[in-house]
Amino acid sequence: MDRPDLYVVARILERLWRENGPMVKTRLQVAARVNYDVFSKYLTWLLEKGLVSLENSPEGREMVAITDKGMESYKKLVQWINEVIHDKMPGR
Amino acid sequence: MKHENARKAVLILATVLVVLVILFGYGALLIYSDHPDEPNFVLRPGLLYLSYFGLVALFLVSISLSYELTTVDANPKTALADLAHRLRVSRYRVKEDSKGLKVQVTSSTAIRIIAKETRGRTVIGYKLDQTPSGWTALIILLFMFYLAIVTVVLTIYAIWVVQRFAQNAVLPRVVGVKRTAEEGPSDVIKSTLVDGLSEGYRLASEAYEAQYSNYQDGILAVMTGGLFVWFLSFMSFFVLIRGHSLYEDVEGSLVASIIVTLLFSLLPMVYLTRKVKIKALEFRSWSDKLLARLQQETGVEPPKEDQTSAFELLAKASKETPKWMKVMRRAGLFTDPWTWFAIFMLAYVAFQLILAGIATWYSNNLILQATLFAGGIVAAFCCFLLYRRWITKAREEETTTITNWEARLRTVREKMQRHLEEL
Repeated sequence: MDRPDLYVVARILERLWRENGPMVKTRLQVAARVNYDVFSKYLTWLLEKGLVSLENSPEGREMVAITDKGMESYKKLVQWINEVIHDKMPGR
Repeated sequence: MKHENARKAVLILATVLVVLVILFGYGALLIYSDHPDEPNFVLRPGLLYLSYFGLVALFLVSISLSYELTTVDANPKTALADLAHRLRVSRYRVKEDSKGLKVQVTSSTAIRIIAKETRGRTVIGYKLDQTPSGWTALIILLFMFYLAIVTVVLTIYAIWVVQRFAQNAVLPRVVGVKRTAEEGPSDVIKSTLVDGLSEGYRLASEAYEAQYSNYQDGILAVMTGGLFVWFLSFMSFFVLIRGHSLYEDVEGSLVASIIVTLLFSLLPMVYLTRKVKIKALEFRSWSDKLLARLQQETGVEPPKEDQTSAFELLAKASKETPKWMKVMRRAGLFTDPWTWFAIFMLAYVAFQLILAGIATWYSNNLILQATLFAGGIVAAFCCFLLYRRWITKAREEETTTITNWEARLRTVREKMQRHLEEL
């Protein structure tokens, strides 16, 4: 994926941040608001970039969790948009 | 106790107000009654006007007094930033600017919170402020001579409200809470989202209020114009069609003039309802969306699974912001009531002086007439200059703000995209 949609990435990262722990893929797909194929592509991309990680639940279901890098990335996005809203030029 | 200062101020201001009201009432009584004990005709209006200017002075003193609330260890900038965040978490509408914080307390009253460094400690203080609609109402009341008393009563009451707000809402949030700088990434995300949503909500709400004020002003203008058109058309129909007698077929002229008035008012009313009001409702819908999200972020109930992300909502809101700012800049009376007060005052003075000049037409006092006319023309010219300065400045600010905003949006969008690509 060359140019991921910012909103979809933000939706996935925000949902994982809010969950405060690993969550089932299907629930995450609902939050991403895209079909399963597109969601799978985004998940692969996020895994490649190290923004999320996969874990197995005790019931053997595949769960997705946000990594520290993912958290840091989402924090940056939120801070930048917050600066724009506050009438400031976004910093580094 | 520091908070006693504001209470004492309220007491002193109220006492002065009572004295001025008595003088004002006595002055009015002297003018409107034939008082045999007071032959000096200069003293009668003099007392009234003196007490009126006393009321104006009391109003100015009331709005300029500031009160100390508490002292903190943090520097002024950090103290205010932390306080702003805590107030936003509690869903207060907070505006940060170079003078400090402005927090809306009621629909008309606001509090200005200031912080300054004194002897190594930061002193947090506050003073009375008003929302744009609050300022507009106070200025209009002050302008209406006899209602100046109401202005001062409302101002003193507003100090009381602000003092209670400072004690009950501001003070507990100034001290004893963990600072933003000490939070982890997850907490920073939360507090940043709350700050962004709160600011977005404030901007959207202010844009809605400004646009709705435009709509109401428009309705008022159409009604005034309609009344004028009705009068003119009624007189025209009466004189041109029915002759000069007021007793001939009043009904016919009345119906015809009402039809003309309705035709005249129809297009502007359709424009106001279909364009101006719809735009106001659009801003209202943004304000509601942002508030609902802010409530979710600061409340117990989390957002729903398939709901738009807070980031997405903020990103979309930031695209709308130039529209909101444009409306706020254009709503003159609403956003800059002091300049408009001066414009109205000058227009009123010009009108009165020229009217007095006309009234003294047959007095054969050329110097008096020339002075009155010259004064009227100077006041009218100053009024025009002030208006032109305001409109030029407003247009320049509007262009600069929107250009900067769009540049910022482009920059942040590119930055975010690059950030994702370079990960």
